[in-house]
This record gives sequence, C-alpha cells and structure tokens, in this order.
Amino acid sequence: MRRRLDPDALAALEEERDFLLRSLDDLEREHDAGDVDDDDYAELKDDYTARAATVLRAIDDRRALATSARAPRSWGRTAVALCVVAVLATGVGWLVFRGSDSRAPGQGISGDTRQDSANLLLEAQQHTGQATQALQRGDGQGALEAYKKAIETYDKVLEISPRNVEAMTYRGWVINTIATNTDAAAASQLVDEARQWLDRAIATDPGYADARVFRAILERNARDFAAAQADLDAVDTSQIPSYMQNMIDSVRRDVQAGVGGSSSASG
Amino acid sequence: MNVALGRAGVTLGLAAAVLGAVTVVYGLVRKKPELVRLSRAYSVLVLLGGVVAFAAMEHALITRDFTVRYVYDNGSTKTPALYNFATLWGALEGSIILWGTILGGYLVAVVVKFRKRLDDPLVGWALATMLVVAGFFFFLLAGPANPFESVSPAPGYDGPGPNPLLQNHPLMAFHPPMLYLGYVGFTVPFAFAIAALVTGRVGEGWLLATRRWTLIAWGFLTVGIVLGSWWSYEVLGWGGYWAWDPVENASFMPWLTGTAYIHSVMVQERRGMLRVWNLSLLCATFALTILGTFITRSGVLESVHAFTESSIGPALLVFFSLIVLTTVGLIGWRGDRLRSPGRIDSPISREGAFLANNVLFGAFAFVVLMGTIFPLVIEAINDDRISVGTPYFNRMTIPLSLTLLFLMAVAPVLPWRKASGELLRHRLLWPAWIGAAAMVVGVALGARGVGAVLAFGFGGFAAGSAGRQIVLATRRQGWRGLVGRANGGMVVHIGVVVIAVAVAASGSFVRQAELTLEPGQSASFAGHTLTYEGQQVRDEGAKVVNQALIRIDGTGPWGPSLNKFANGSQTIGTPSVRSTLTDDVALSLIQVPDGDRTSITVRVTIQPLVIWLWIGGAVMALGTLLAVFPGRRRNPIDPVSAPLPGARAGRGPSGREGVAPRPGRADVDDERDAEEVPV
Repeated sequence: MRRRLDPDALAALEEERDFLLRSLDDLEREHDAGDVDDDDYAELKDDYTARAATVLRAIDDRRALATSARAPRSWGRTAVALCVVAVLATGVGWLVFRGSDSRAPGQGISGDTRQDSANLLLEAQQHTGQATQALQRGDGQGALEAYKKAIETYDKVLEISPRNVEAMTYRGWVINTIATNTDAAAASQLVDEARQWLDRAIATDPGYADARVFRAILERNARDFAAAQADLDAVDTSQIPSYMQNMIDSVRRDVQAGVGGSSSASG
Repeated sequence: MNVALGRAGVTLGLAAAVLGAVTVVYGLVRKKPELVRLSRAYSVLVLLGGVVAFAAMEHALITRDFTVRYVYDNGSTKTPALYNFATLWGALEGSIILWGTILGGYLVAVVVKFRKRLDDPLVGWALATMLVVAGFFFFLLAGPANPFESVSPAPGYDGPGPNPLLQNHPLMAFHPPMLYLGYVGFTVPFAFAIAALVTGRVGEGWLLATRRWTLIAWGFLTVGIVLGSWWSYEVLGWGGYWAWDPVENASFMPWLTGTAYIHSVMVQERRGMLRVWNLSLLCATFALTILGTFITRSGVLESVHAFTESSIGPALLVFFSLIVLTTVGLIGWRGDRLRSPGRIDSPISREGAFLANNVLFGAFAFVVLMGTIFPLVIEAINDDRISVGTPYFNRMTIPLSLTLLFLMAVAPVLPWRKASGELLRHRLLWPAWIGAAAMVVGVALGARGVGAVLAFGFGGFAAGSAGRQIVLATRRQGWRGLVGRANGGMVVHIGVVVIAVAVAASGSFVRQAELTLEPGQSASFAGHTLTYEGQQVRDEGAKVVNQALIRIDGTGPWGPSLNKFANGSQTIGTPSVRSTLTDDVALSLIQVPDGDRTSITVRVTIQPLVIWLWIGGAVMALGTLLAVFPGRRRNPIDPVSAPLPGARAGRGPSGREGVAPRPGRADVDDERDAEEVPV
C-alpha cells in the first residue's frame, strides 16, 4: 500500500506520460513530413496510445487511492492547531516584550555578558539618569522603577566586589532619593537605611569624599549640624568632583547657619 | 596582479554559476540531458573561480598588497602569520569569498557523488538550485561586497589589521570555516528539497539521497558553534561562553531547526509522514542561515536604518525573501501530493516522540528568533532602541531544554507505532536508576535549584538510555554497533548530555569576584588561592602586552593581560584560564599598575565542569562521524514497526542474540527498531 502511494512512483508515471505524449506529437510531425510511412505510423501510434492509456489509468488509480487513503481534512482540528500556535506565539511575544528593556550605549540587541564592576557602575548611573528624566516628566512610577534597577545594579557590583565604596555610597544615596519622593512614614525608614549604607561606605574607606558629603546632607536634614560639620571637615577637598562643589557649598552654608543658630540658642 | 586575479576568479565563478543555472534549467525544461550534464563542467568552473579568488586574496594578505581594498582595510604588516591568513574571513567581503569557495566545493562534491545520475531531473534541479545560490554569492562579490577594488595607498602605508579581538586566539582560524562549512552545507539538502518539489518526487528518495549531506552539514555547524563559544570564553573575558548575543543566536537558530529535521526525517523515511513539515524545516534552516548572515553582516545591529546604506543588507534581505516565497509557493503548489496517508497511532511511540521533539525544537528556535529580531522590529517601527536580556532567554529555554533532555532519554527506547507500559518499564528501568543516581550525586556535590537538579537527573537518564542502546547494538553487531545513523546518534546524545550537565553546573555554581592585589599578596576565593607575583610588559610588535603573573593554588603563573594593539585605539583584555576536569579558574585583568599604584585588579570567575563543554562537543563531532558511516543493512524481514498482537511467534532469523522469545515479553526485548538502512 505504502509503495503504491509513493509520490516518487507517481512522479515517474507522470514523466512517462509526458514522454509518451511528446512521442505521439513527434510521430505526427514526422508522419506529416513524410519521414514515417503509413503502416509504421499506425503501428507506432497504436503502441504509444495504448501505453499512454495504461499510464494515464495508473496515474488516475494512484491519485484516487491517495485521495481515499488520506484522512478527511478536519477543519476543526486545523482551527484548534492554529489557535494553539497563535496563543503560543502571542505568549512568547508578550514574554519577549516583558523581557526587553531600553538599550544602553554599547549594549547589543540581545543577550548580555557578566559585566565588571566599572561597567556595572556606569549602568547604574544610567538608571539614575533615567529616573531623573522620568521625574522631570512627572512620571513618578517610572522614576521609582529606574531607581530600583539602579539599586539592583549596585547590588550586583557589591556581589563581585563587596568592598566597593562607590556602590555602597550611591546605593545609599539612591535610597535617600526615593525617600524624598515618598510619604513620611516610609521615608523615615528609607533614610535610616540610606544612612546605614553611607556608614558602611565610610567605615570601608574613611577618605571617600562622596560618602562623607552625602552623610553630611542626611545629618543636616536631621539637624545634627555638629556631625555634618565633622563629616564636611573630613572631606579631602582635592577629591571632590567638580559637579559636587555647589552642593557642598550649599550644605556647608546650611550647616554653618545651623551650628550658629544652635549655639546662639544655647547661649 | 592580485586585483586582476581576484576579479578574474569572481567573474569566472559568477559567469559559470549563472550560465550553469540557465543551461541546466533549459536542459531540464526542454528535456535535453546533454545540457543537464554540463552541470559537471559548470560546477568545476564555479569551484575554480572560488579557489582563484580565495588564493588571490590570501596572496594579497600574505604579501601585504595594500592596493587591494580588502587588504587596505583589514591587513597589516604587524599581524602575525596565522591571524593574517585568517583575516580572509575576519570581515564581510572576505567571508563571502569563503562562502563562495565552500559552495563551489560542495557543488563539485555533489557532482562527483551523483555522477551517474546527472541527467536525473531530481539531481539536475538540485544542481540548478545550488548554482543559483552560488550565483547570488558571486554576485555579491562582483558588486555589493567586492573585496578586489583597487586602491592607491600612500607610500609606506600600513593597514589597521583585523579587529583586535580576531587576532587574540588561534581558534579564530578554525571556528569561522567550520561554521561556514555547516551553513553552506545545508545548501545541498535545501537544493534537493527544492528539486523534489519541482519534480513532484516528494517521496523518500530525495531524503535518502541527502541524509548523509545533512548530517555532515549539521556536524560542521555543531563544531563551529562549540568552537565559537570556546573562542568567546577564551577571548572576551567576561567569564562566560554563551551570552545570547545576536551573532551566537544567528548560528544557533539553523542548528535548532536542522536538529529538528534530522530527527523528523526518520519519521518520513519510516512512515511516509511529516512531508510538509520536513520540507519546511529544511527550507527554514537554509533561510535562517541567510537571515543570520543578514543580521550579522548587514549593519542592522548598529542601527536598523543602517542596513539600507549597507552594500549587502538589501541584497541579503531580497534573497531571504525570495527563498521564503519560493519555498512557500512550491509547497503550496505540491500541497496535495505532500499530504500524508498515515497518522500517528499513539503519542507513546517513536514517531510521537519525534513529533514532540520537533515541536520543542521549533518552539526553541521561535523563542530565539523572537528574542533576536524583536528589538529590530521595534526599532524599525518607532525608533525605540531596546534590548532583550539574558533572563528572557534563560526563562524560556531552560524548561524547553529540560523537556528535550527528558525526551532524549525516552525516545530512543520507544518502538514505532506504539509502546506498552511493560516495554517502557523494562527498557527505561536502568536509565531511570542512572538518572536518579546522577541526581543524588548532583545534590551531594552541591547542586541546588530545580533546573540544575533536573538537568543532572534527566542528563543521567538520557545518558543511561543512550548507553543502553549502544551496549545492545555492540553486543549484537560488534564494532559495527557504533556506526550508522542510529548508533552514531546515540554517541551524539551522550555528547549532548555532557554539554547539558556542564552548562547546568557551570551556570548554577558560577562564582565571580574582583580582587585587588599588591605584588606578593595572596587572596582566597571559592576555595582557590591566588597570588600576584608581579607585572610583565612586553612589546610583541603587533601589540604591547601588559601582563599580570598570578599563581593559582601554586600552579602557573597564569598571565591575564591587557593588550594595546599597534593600530587599535582600544585596550583589549586577554583572559587566562586554568582548566581542570572539575573546574575552571578564569582570570581577566581589569586594572594594571599605574603611576604610584602598584596593585592590580583582576576579575576571577570560577565555574565547575566548563571543560566538559568542549569534551561534549568533541563527543558530538565523533558521534556525527560515526553516524555518517553506513550502519547495518536492515534485514528485509525485520518489522518496520511494532508487530500486531498475536503475530509474535514467527520471529525472523535476526532475532536478538538468538535468544528464544519469552512468552508475553517478546516486544519488550525487540530492539530492532533502532536499526537503519544504510545511506
């Protein structure tokens, strides 16, 4: 049965049919041209015709057999299969959408490698930059998402480089920034957490200026001006990045005013 | 001279391919076998054109002939000999020369193999298809990607040399040619698939004619991918071997569909089923090789809009579309003839398992395709530059991989048509015990997490199943029990299991840290002690190597370095890896001593069993080689499927080891389903 349904055998029969029909055409032409006499023509034509008829019957038989052997097409099953494929494709599409994120400079369109701490710190900075942009747009939720990504990235840095003071400091600072954009009850907890990260950074590297300045800001906000003054005094001015200078000057003024205010109040 | 010789080669290849395709098609349509037989001469001329172009380019590179545009752009007097030779496939235009030359080689190999059937329309149409593909690639060389443009360099000019990353490890000399042998090799079965559709001979004849070609192409692609990830591991220095980046995905997608095809083709050979599916898989595999070339070579990765400015992007996209449209059109045209008379009797059968395997491989390829092209589509639509990260790929592919591993254990022991519960219990008992033992050993060694534990368990299960098949086959047939598609396939399965376990172990237990060390200082990390001995700076001509000498557990010193290439602006790191059978310690230098600072910062990545990835790859290559050899000829009276109930008594002379069948257990021991007719 399988052999009789073989498409290759059917193709061979079709080829033979084409050959016989072509031969009949050739025979007519040669007879018309007088190259074949009438007796030969009749004999050959009968032979070709009989063979062609046999082949044509065989082809019809095989086609009929193939048609009857096939299971009837089930439109219901086809529809179900198409639906399953469509649902799966949509599902994968949705998951790929969920798994995508904005492409950082230098990043490929897919996949990623394990970054070293320097690259991860750059990536975290990009997330905080995105958060700032989102805040400027008034998109608080977008900003929060970006800050969370920054925190996750700093955690990755600390995983491979546990004594990385930059990651500790900026992780704390990002938490403090979130605190400034949240309600008072949650803010207090977040500020405490931020303070712990800054303490940890200063304990690891007492000379790291950024951590000292950020802690001074937290202390100023808590009206602990003496502690803030101590941290500012400990800052090595040669290490202060230029973009922080205005911030430090402002904090210093506040702290001096605060120290003056409290001493005059006590006096 | 090199320019003239190279152009002559390209022109010869292009003319021979175009004239050959036209002549053969004319001969086939007009039924003129003498014209069809001319494919032999045209194929030889295509190869000759490719070889001349290849030789001219190599000569130009070796003699540093900067009047050739490609050498001007990619050559340098400072490039070491091996990398200078490999520069031919280091950039777009040169890689097309390699493609054309390899395709010429395959053309001649097909002509030689089918020398007695050259006027057979099936072979004729296949050769015509291959000549069209060759014509396309030589057209690229003649126009959009012409490497033989003539330039006039300034006196004393020295080129930039190849990308520094491409002259950092000897694997660069072997990985791309292997990959291309795989990519281009799929042209042969694709061409026969097209020929089968055109001639209407869509039965099993063309499959039998091409199955060894398919295996060879698949084997080369496998080796190419494994070498690629080895190169990535040894050169890129991020501590991993697979990052799901678009270049890796481009080679992986055709491998997935090709793997699905070499399984499902057995269902068609044995049961005459899945004809449309097999043709679609094969054409998809070839189309994906072109899509992969488009993704990696058109500039689309830099920007979607860059590809229209690229010389080659639009041509590749048009060719890809042509392949898809032609294939879909031909399958639609032959649709009625392709409908299979049979159907799968039971899902618990060999064909049921192959179907499940194909669904999983198809889903796997779709997942990778979506992850790769989704960012391109989004960028094309609204200019958003997004990236699909590794978590998506891992989340989607780990469950698929585990299911495939499970299927790999079960499928080889299943008979055709249907299987009884008793048979499965009997055949899977020992593999299941091995799987359970592997799981226990994995947990005892520290495996944690469902994915890793299941990978150990299913890996052991699959290895037990493949091992059982090999033992049975070698008992029955001696050394011939190792060769042939089914037996070689089991060796491939063992290689896959080794890789799967290595991936699970290395991915789950990776430990990474950055250590800052002063000269003479030691640090311990993840059970290893690293001692920084000192720094070494040397000028190697092509690059200045700034190397740190580090002892790992007293061995070495190992020398990760930062290299400043003479003509490159960036500093490229070269990691140093200490490989043992249990784990790898990979060191990448991040910071070298500078000014007052005498310390270095080194990234240490420790991963278990990484070396087994390369060993697994070698086992897969060996298995493919064994599978290509003819296996045992199937006895004509062997059953092709599970015998009908009540027809058990009359076992043929090929009964297993001459053991008389036990009542009620005959089907349990019947392993002959695994045998294959020779190719």
